[in-house]
Amino acid sequence: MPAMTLGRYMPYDSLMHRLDPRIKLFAMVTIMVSIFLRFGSVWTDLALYGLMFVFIFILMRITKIKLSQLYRQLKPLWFMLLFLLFINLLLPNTQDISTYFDAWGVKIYYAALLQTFYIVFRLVLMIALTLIITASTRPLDLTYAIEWYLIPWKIIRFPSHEVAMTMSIALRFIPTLLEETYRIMKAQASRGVDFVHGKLKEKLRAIVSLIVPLFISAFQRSEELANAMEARGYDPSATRTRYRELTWHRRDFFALLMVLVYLGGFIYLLTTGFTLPL
Amino acid sequence: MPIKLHHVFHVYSQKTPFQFEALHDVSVVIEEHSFTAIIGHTGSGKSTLIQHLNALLLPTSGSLEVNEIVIQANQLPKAVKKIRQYAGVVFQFPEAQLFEEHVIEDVMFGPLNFGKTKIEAKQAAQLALQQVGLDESFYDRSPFELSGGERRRVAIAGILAMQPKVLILDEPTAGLDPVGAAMMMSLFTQLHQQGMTIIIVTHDMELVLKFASHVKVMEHGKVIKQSTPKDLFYGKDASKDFIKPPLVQLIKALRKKGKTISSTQERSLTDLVQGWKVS
Repeated sequence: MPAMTLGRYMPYDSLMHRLDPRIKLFAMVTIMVSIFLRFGSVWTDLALYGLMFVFIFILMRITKIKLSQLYRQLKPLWFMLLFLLFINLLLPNTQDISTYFDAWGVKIYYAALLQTFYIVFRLVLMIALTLIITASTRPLDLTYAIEWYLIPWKIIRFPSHEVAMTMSIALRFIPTLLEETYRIMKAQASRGVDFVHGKLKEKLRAIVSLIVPLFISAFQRSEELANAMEARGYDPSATRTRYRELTWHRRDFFALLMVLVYLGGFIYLLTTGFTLPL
Repeated sequence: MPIKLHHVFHVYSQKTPFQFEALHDVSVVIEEHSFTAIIGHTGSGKSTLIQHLNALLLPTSGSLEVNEIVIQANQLPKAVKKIRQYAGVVFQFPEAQLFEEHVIEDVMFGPLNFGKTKIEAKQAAQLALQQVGLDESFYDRSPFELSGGERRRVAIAGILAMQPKVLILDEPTAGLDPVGAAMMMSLFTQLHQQGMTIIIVTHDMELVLKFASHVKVMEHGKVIKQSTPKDLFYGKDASKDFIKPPLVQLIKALRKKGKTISSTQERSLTDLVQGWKVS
C-alpha cells in the first residue's frame, strides 16, 4: 500500500487534530476562496500568494505534515501541470500581449507564463489545504461537521441527516475499497497481469480484470450493509442522539477568531481595491 | 529446486505512523515436492510470507530464491513472470478475482497472460477445469451465476491452468461446506502426488495433521518452529500453548488408558478406525 494517500487520516496528536471539525471546515472554505481571489496588480497577487503559502506552511507544520509528504502528493500531477503549461503557452487566455519573448519562433507571452504559475500555485495550495484537513480530521468528524452546517436546511425539508449518512458511508468505504483494489490487483498479478507495462490492448484488459471484480464486490458490500442496517432497525428519519458530542473549547474560539480576522482582512483588501505601491 | 528464504524482513508503510513489521528475519527452506503447511495466529505474517514466494511483495531486506531466480530486497526481478508462473498463488476467497463472461475464458486468462496461444490456453483450461471437477456444461456459463463453491473451483482452475510447479493456497477451504472442503483437499493431495509442491496456509489443524508433510509455525512475523505434523502434535515439538486437534487429544487419552495405537493411525479419524478394523 502506498505510504500516504490523499485523504488519509494521520493519527498524530496535534493542535490541529484537537480543533473542532466545524472550525476546520469553515477555515478551509475561507482559505480556499481567498486562494482564488485576484487583486489589482501582479505584485500584490504575488505578495499575497507568498503570504498564503507561509500561512499554509505553518498550518502544515502544526499538523506535523512534512513538505516531502506534500511533494509526494503532487507527484502524480506533474504530467497534468506540464500539460497545463503547454496549453497555456500555446493558447494564451490573456489580454496582455504587449510583452513576450521569442522561443524558436513561438511567441511566449509573459502573461501566459504568469497565468500558468497562478494555476499551479493555486493547485499546490489547495492540495496542501486538503491534506491538512483530511490528515488531521477523522472522516466521521468531518461528516458531523458537514451535517451541522446542513441543519438549517432542514427548514426547507432538505434531508440533511440522510445526506450526511451517505457521505460518511462513502468516506468510510474508501479505505475498504482501496484495500479490495490492492487485493484484486495482487490476485490478477498472480495470474500474470502486468498493470504497468504492455501494449494498450493488454493494459485495457488488465484494467477490466480489476474493475469488474471491484464493482461486483462494491455492490455486494452495499447490499450487505443495507441489510445489516435494516436488520438493526435503522430509520433515516428518526431523531437520534450522538455517541460523540462535539464540544466547544477555548482553542476553537481562538481559531474562529483567526479565521474571521483572515476573512475580514481579505474583504477589506477587496473593498478598498488595495494594491502594493510598486 | 527448493524455495529458500534468507533473513527476509518485510515492513509495511515504512516511515509513516502506520509502519508495521510483518516479517522479522525469516529464514526457511520449503522443500520441492513437499506438502508444507504454514500455521499461526491471525496477523502472524503468514499471508505476507506467501506473497513473497511469487514476488508480489518484495523483502525490505534479505533475499529469497525461487526456481533458481534470486529476489533481492526491494528489487523486482526481471524474470518476474517466470516466478509467477512457477509459483501460483490462490488467495483467500479467490472467487473475487473472476471477471470474464464465461468460465472457460476466465480460466484461460492466466495461460494467455503467460504467452500461451489460444489453443494451448484452451487445452490447459479444459484440463484444469476437469481437475477441479467441473465438466463441459460449465464452460459457457457465467462465473457469476455459479454457487460459491463452484466459483472457488473456477478460480483455482484459473491458477492450475497456468501449470505452476508450486501451488500456494491461502485458506482454500475457508467458508466451504464440509463436502466441498473435502473435495478441495483431495484435489490438492492428488496434485501433490503428481509431483506438485503444495504450500497451504490454514487454521484447520485437522487438515495439517492429515495432509501436511512439513509444518512451519509463525508468530509475530517470525517462523518459530519448523517441524512435521507428527512431531508437532505427538512428539518432541508438541507444546502446551497450542490447542491440539480433538483427534490428537483422543489418541493421547486412549494411549494413556493403555490402548495401543500405531503411528499409521495417528493422522485422521478414518485411519484410526481403519487400523482397528484390520487388526
